[in-house]
Amino acid sequence: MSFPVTFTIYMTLLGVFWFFVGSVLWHLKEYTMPDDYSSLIVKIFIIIIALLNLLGLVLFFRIPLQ
Amino acid sequence: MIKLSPEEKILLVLHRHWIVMLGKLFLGALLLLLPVVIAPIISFFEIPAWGEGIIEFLAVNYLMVIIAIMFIFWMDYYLDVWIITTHRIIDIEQKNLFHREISEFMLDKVQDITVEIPNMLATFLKYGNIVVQTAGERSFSIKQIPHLYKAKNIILEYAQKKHERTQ
Repeated sequence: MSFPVTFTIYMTLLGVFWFFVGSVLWHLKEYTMPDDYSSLIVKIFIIIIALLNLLGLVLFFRIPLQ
Repeated sequence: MIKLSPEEKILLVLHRHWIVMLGKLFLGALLLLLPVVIAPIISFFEIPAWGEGIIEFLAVNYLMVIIAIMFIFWMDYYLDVWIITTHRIIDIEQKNLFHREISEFMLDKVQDITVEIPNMLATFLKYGNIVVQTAGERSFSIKQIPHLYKAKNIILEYAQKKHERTQ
């Protein structure tokens, strides 16, 4: 498969993925009670997801595509 | 966010007991470990260098999706909440990512409260269900919550105060 096609598919899937993650963040921002412990857990989840996303991108560009 | 009237105060905020999340967390942990189990099996096959790159890429994306699913599970758990204020009880239930139900009733509508500890685990971990019967036809149940007796006492105390004021 050619690079532009694969890249477009990957970016579309990432877009859908971040839409769901963004929805969760929006719900938490909108409905969380003030002064609670949730922000720490949210930060941990988001950092892990962002790091894995970054690693995924690096690995994607290492795949030999034409 | 819930809007409170000027003289209204939050008395207690209740989430489900953490044990409710344990099953889902365990399942998530098993799914996270799956690539570790599969890796030695794959190593038996002769895979070209570019193939290894693809496998690593897929494994990282798989982990990312599993973590995101666990994040949604946690949100579902965390946003199921019962708020007891000096005036009312607000029951917020997050059914799924885009489905949310909010119901509330005034404390002066409270008629009786039933506390239920359904099994042995609930007895040891001190959680259970509270069923609040209101003057309307509907009864409200708050399931798998800790601090059962504290919640019951607060509801009764403030419901009684409300009844006294109305009489």
